Amino acid sequence: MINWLNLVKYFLIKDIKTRYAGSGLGMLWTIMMPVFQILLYWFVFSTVMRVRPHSNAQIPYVFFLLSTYFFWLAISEGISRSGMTIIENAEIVKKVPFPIIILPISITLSSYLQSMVGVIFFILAFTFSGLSHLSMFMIVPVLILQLLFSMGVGMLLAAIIPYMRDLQQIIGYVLQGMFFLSPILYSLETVPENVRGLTYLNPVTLYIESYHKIIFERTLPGLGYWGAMALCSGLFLFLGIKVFKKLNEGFADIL
Amino acid sequence: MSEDIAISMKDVSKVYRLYQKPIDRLKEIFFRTRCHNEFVALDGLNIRVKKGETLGIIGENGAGKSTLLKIIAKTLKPTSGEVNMNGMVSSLLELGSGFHPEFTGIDNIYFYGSLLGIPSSEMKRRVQEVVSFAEIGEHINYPLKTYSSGMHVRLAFSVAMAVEPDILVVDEALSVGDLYFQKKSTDKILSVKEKGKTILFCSHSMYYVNRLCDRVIWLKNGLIAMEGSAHEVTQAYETYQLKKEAAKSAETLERDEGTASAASSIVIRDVVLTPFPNVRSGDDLTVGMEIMSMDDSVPYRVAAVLFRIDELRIISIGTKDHDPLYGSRNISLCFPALQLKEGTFFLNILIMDEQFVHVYNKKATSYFTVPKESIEPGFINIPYRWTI
Repeated sequence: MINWLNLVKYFLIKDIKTRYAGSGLGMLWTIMMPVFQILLYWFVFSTVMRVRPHSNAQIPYVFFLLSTYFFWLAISEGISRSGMTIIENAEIVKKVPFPIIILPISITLSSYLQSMVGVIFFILAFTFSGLSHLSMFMIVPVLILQLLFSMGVGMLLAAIIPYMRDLQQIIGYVLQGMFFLSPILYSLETVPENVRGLTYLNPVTLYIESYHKIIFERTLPGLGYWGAMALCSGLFLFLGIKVFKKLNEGFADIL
Repeated sequence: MSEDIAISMKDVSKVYRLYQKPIDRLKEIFFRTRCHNEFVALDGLNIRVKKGETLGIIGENGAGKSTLLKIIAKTLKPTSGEVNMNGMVSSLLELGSGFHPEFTGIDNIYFYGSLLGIPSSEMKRRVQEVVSFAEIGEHINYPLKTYSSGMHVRLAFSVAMAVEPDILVVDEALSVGDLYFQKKSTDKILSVKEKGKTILFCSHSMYYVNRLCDRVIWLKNGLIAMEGSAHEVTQAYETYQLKKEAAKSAETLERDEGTASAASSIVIRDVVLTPFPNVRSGDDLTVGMEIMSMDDSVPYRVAAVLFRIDELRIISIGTKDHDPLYGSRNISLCFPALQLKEGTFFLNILIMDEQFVHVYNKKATSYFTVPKESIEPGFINIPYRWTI
């Protein structure tokens, strides 16, 4: 077990090192690009289109965006990068005997670790504006559930994509759809009531809405939410491990 | 499995499935339909290796050697059959394949260790040993991408050996790095053998196989063609190879059958030069030859051709004034008071038929060097006389 952790640690460092190899600004990129993206959304939605995408008037829209955008980034990066991880590491998958499932796990962790820099940035800015509160710590259990969900999906895709490489092309669009159909840019209350139920079909909505509740409404999400999140995370994790174990043995034949 | 057995393989087969598209493999896993062509690489092998034994594996390309080694190194799963191993396996199969270019040498040592399941506390103990064995100096603290390919394999070899395996899998890894390191790595492998570890050794060099292995398995088309002492098996294999070669050239030259079979049965086993490798002009150079013939009824003659290193043919000498030879013989050729002046030379020894038309077998000697002792350039002495 200790060795597993060790291996995860090395893959994590390896991933981060490769990512920032030769870049001057290093980790700063992980914040700068998303922040630029957020400023863009902010400008388009509240200045150009002048919509009121969220109901809570006391909270500036930019904070609303910042609060969940980095969590979303962790999901989307984790999923899309996990999908490629087996193909990218074909050399060692074929030649070195080790538990391959560590690859999607460590790639997911790496994506989360890097997005957390953004989350800390948000918390600092939020605190600086005097808006933060102690109960915000409740985002931690939600984050853990979200991480398990990502890992499950990551393993699932990591296992399947080597067999169906064109799936990788679709994933980008699916992720984009999930982004717009979850309450990251807008709050759930602004969605017309007759279609609001549909947004719950997107599992990401559960986690995002929980963050909103904890951060802005200072309330815990209801039991139904917790139950649904636990179910969703557990289900995907179980499915991911099962499918990965099953498809694992075929990697050497197709890589 | 009993305690003194290191590796036991029971009915092990490996069938490679050849898929046209990766998705066909997925269809098979889920729908159990057949969408592939098969290639049988190993066909029901039964192998047992005792602890402390060095087993050689020989065979032609595509005989299944690498597949067998990969199965033992656990990078390949057998299609069917049972593989049991006592102890930790390290392989010199794909040297350095787990390494990462952005990590420093030191980081890669730890990384590789944990890939193989060795705790980092344990690696800490061994890291100094790896560093001193690899002899790459300061570079050990720089990222791997700055390494030359020689340094890369040095480090890879050192790490693979430092994990102190109970079973070592070696595939032609003796040609690691420069001559100095080759010697060092061969010695290291020998010392592992002396420590009583189990070694699986695969090579095309019959010399090394003979030198290192207690027992040898000859693989042919995924089956064991022969199994036995190193000497027996390598000899049978060499004979088979020669026969095959002879049969091939017989086909191309459309020789009559008699010669073709004769050609395959006479072999030069060994050629020894004395003195060696430095011969002084005026020394007596002796070329000892060990000739083995399977068929005592075939007559043959021997020829030697002396070449300069650039393949300039200096002289050809045959046993034309002697009766044809029969059977296995040890003969020697002497150049009394050698009249070569300076340069590097070698000889080609040829076994031929009585008419010196067909070459049955051919072997080149090692290079020998005659040091320069005269100020007059040239490489050969011939009698001369000035009239002034």
